[in-house]
Amino acid sequence: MEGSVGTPSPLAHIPSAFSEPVISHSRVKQIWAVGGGKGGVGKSLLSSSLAISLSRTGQKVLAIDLDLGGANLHTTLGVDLPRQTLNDFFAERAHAIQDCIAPTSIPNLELISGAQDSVQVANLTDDQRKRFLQSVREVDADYVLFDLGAGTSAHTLDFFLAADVCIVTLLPEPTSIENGYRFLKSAYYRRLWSNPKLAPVRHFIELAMDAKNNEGIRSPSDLFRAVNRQNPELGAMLKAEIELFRPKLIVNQVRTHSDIEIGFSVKTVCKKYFGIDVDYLGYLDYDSSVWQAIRRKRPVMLEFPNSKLVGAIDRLVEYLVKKRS
Amino acid sequence: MIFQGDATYYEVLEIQPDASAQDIRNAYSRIKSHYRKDNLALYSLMDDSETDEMLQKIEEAFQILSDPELRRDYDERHGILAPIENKIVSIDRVPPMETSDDTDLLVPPATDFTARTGTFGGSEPRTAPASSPFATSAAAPQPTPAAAPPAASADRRVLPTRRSMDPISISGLSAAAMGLDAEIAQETEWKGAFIRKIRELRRFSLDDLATQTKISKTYLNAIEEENYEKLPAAVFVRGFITQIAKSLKLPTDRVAAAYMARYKR
Repeated sequence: MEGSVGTPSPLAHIPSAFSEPVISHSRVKQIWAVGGGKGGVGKSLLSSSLAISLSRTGQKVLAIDLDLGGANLHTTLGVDLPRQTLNDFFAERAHAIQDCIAPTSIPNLELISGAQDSVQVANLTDDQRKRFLQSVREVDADYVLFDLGAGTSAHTLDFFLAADVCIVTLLPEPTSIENGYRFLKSAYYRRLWSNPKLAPVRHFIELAMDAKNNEGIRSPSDLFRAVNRQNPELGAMLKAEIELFRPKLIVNQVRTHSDIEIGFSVKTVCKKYFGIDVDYLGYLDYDSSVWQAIRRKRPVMLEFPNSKLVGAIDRLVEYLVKKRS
Repeated sequence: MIFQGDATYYEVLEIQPDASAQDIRNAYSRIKSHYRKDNLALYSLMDDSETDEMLQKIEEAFQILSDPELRRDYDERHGILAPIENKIVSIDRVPPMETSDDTDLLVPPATDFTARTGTFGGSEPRTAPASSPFATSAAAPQPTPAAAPPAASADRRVLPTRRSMDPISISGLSAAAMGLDAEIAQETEWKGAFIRKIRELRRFSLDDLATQTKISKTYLNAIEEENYEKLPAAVFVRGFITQIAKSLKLPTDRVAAAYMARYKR
């Protein structure tokens, strides 16, 4: 994994992870993150559509493009690149995150665009990540949506794990599934590695992260057994931490019935392999209106309001909001 | 499965302990299909050997849970409470009660047709003639006290008519059986030959036992002859032994423990 092992995690202070609940005066109800580990699976489409749908229910939404170096969210939302982006925030040219917030033509929806300069922000420092996550919880919005970049770099994983609702999206194709599992696996181990209570067995977790290790720790099963053997109490803690990880799954560009089934299979396999409960939220049909909307640089939710896709997204949002309460 | 020690057959099939037979069948096909070789969802996460291992577990889970007897044993051994459903058994499979009372549970309670009922206004016994509109025919089939079922008497020990397969009621009085009871009480090894001796003394043919336990004669033979090569995995054999012991009215736990101790060696 690129650079994710040695860097300490800023997660310790994140409310959703291991410590106390959010500061009470924060308006932000939830952070939703959309990841998937591969370019072109529809992360931006999904996050922008969810953001629009959510904003239409009257909630104030802030969409943040965290694809540092490949920022597309503004394009899918149909707005020009904002004046100040995350690049400015991380470089401290922008004083506060609020300075980067740009309006969209959609009521209740605002945007923070990802940085354009890949060189500078590909390797954030822990402080920068910490500062960002802290600021995000303090914005004036009901919901914050993270559109994560492709890949499994440390900051992508940490942003994913910092969210309250972690959504993985994939296409029903071998390459996408492979990347999806890679992403899930990385997030899974990253989460365990970041837990300060599991620090005594961190070396086991690092072995598990390294697919080619010689100690025979090849799977979560092996990891659990190794930890449990060394210290059953830590084994129990590991198990408890694993059970807290509940990513959600959306299968995109579905064309056949077996495509839909892939979601159920992934759910079952993840339970057996990782020991986690993946919530298969649902699927989105392949919809030609999507590429047409992208061509026009308009959000599909607005450009083709009668498409099946829009209905599916609205139902998804309804489900997630209801689940929160 | 990741938390190896915890994976019960129910967890393997992703069902609740009170799943019905249909649930189990459905779950079996469904979970099995997730692990078929060509399933894209396995790509890059599980290799063939891991998939095979998983499929084997699924098969095992289904074998045990789809057989009501094996399932009950499994539940008991794993502290899973017996689901209410299993207590409703069909007429043919009422297990013999472990009591000395030989009352057949399925014989209706004694009805004394001479008793005064009172609820229908009149208190005439049914043998009262003429006033009843149905008494016109001379051959009116009115039950008389003399023809009442034998259970009208205070002693409810009725000779069971259906329970021809219940060994105790047949052999309870034979001297050989009395001696056998003593032997059983003292037995510790429970060799196959001894089990055979009991079966024969109790006048159970292999066919009878096969019918009652639903275990094949081949396996029953192999168990009595201690022919281990012919027997399947220990978990199944344990179930068979328990079943046989139950049918022969033997202390199931003791027999199973002793026999299986030898089987593992």
